[in-house]
Amino acid sequence: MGAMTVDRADGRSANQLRPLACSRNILHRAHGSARWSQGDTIVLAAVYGPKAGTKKGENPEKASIEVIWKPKTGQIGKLEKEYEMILKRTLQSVCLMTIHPNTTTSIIVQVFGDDGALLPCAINASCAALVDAGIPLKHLAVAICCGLTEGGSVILDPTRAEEQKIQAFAYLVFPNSPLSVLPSAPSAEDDAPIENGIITSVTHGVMPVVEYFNCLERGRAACAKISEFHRRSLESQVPVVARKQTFEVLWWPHTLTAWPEFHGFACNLSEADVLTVACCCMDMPRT
Amino acid sequence: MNAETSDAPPTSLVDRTVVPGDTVLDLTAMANQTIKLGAGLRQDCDTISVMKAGKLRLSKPNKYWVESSHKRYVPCVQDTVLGIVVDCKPDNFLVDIKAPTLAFLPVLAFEGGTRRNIPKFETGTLLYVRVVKANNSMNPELSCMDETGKAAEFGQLKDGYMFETSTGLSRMLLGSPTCPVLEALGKKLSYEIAVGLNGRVWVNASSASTVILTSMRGSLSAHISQLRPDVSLSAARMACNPNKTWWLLVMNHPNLLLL
Amino acid sequence: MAASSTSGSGRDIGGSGGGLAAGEMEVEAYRRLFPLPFYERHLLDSVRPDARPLHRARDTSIALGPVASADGSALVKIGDTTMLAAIKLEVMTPSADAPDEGSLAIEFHMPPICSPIVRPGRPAEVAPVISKQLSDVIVSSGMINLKELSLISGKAAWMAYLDIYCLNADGSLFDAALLSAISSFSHLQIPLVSLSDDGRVVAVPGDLLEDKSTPELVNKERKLLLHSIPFSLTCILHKKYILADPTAEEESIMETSITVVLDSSERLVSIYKPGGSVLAHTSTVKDCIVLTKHRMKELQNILEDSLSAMEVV
Repeated sequence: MGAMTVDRADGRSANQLRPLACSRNILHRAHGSARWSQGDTIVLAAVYGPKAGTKKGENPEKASIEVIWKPKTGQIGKLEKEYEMILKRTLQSVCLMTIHPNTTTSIIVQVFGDDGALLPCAINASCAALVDAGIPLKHLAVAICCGLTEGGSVILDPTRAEEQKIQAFAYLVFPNSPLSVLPSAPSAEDDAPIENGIITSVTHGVMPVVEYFNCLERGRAACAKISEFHRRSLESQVPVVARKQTFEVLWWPHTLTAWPEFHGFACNLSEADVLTVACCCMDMPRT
Repeated sequence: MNAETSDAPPTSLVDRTVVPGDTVLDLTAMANQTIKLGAGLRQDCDTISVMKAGKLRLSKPNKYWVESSHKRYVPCVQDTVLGIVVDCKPDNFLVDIKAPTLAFLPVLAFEGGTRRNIPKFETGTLLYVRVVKANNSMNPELSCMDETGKAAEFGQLKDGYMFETSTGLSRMLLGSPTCPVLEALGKKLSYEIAVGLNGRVWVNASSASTVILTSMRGSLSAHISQLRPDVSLSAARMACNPNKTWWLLVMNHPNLLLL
Repeated sequence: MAASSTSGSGRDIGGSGGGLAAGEMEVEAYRRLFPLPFYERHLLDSVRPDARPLHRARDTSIALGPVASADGSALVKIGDTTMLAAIKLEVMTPSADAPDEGSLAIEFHMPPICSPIVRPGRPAEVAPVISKQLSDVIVSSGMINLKELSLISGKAAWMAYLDIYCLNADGSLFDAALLSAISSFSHLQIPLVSLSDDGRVVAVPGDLLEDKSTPELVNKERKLLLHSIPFSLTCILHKKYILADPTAEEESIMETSITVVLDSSERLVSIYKPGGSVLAHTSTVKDCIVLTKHRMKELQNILEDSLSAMEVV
């Protein structure tokens, strides 16, 4: 806490997040999909459902949620099982489970890049994919990773290199900051506004209790920013009235032959997007 | 435009983008008023909150809903949809309407339907039907009659070409005034179209269907500036079928959408 | 009699019938049909159906050394939740990057006998997650100095296999598993070993120790020094209530739980709240930490008592 500035390898300040990017509806067959990246940590989430029926042992009076975690390489182990469980419980708490009883919604999380804060990135991606699929939600879940350095200062959204060096870190998930027509003073019976609550908290490493509360405070502030980003990205992607604009072809699949009438496509494809396209071609499960 | 999260609450969120968790109406401030809630809204004690992202719409005087576009369909009474028969049972046809569960179409729900003249539909038959019952604890129920018991265009759709789009696009194709694409197409050629609110569209014409599709694509590019992005998408999807499937995937990328 | 909780799911009928007068119905039927209103009525009077105050944990007992063939073992009961933990030590060659450290392998098992939710042939979903949580907590708390498990630097070190079997799963599994893990570590007796003529590490049988011809021992210390022992408490959050140490029935009815792990110097090892409703405000978390501190003192006493009882025997 005493240290005013922290030196981070990528030149960020302690409270600075890596650049966020989110694109929705990128998979053709999934009912909802989203690609969320925080720097080089990239996760693609696909939502299938709601599909009829629940698994044996689940409560048929409610909807059920199934999470499948696909690591970048290799088999899934205990860590991935834990991620699946945390992700499932977190999403269960934001979904309105009584709207479509006796149905199952599957969320498939494919990791593309892990450069630290993987679980928060996956939670953000899954939440964006649920929004894209139109699954009824109480509110959004916004996740952040707070790290506690050896020197005792809190850094946000650490990279993998930073994660390995730090003494402890906490994955925190908060509700988004909602817009409200209600008078800003919250009603008397509930003195704490909803966005102050914690949906999920997972910590690794030993830290003094005060530092945890410090993390909570910083994480909450950062989550307000991320939820603002969520809202803005939704504003730009919910199709509104079309604007007149000239467009040009920036990238063209060279295997595609004549397509004369369609020279008006704007294609902003980066290499990462080509990757996304490649993954679309991968066989994702179908309902 | 950045959403305000400052202290002063916005007075109305109508026509703004809302996300799940937003509170759009305060019921304590509007006692003695009846309001009707549409898709994406729910009552939470004294407030109305949002559960799906989209634009909040108000149809005067009192209908509120969140306008959004999805690939799945949530059945709603009185919607007209395109369904595909997946199974035939003695009392019901089981029909896929892109809803969470299969819908039932009673074998007698046809104009003048009796036990004697039960229609024979093979699995895979495309039907234009109306939703008559929809609640979340039962399978939705369909009918091939309007309220007066007439067939009224409902029933099997033969030949033609069916493609899947989003619910938002089909709502736009059905909107009034008539969608400019359909209008422009109608000037050049005659065709039949059936749009289901569940995001399925069926087209048919006397000439070979490829002709229609190509011309539709042509007129689409002329009208592109007035269209919403997903319209050009579906045109492209129609034109590309069946052999360039991977290109369709590329088209689905949001960065490729026309603005 | 313990309230047998028959199933963890499928019982949440919801509060729709909550208005029904309880007097008109048999209590047991009311409990099964409307579990949540049943609990809420109790909570209003700050008591739980098993007569515990909200913040009290169930009776806890630790029995050390129930498994004679293991190097260290413990049987822990928290209410009806029963855990059997056993440690087996084996000599291994340490890895090249940590030549003077032994290693730990922690596994948590949920055999079908422990709960009606677990079916034979299909492993319980939570088992690998609790395994992972346990090893995270034990490793990150620094309770065990892995260097103490070293025998000959670069040549031989102990590999400690800790297996925890859940015999009866009646809620707060992680708390019971962690307690059984630390109890079995405090019970652990490291076998004495010596180098044989061909350079292999062999165990020295107990009766040879007095013998003059005994080869030189490699290790002398038989006890592992535990540094800052982690203790945990799981709480259920429901509305404004905090219920410490929930049973399986309580866990299935009220879904939001939070597990706090503190070490003996009151530093935070873990705060684990996977999902659930948005109830954990800062003040609630603080309350849970205070409860955990109380619980830690209780557990420390129980552990010390059972250790001293063992020494007397």
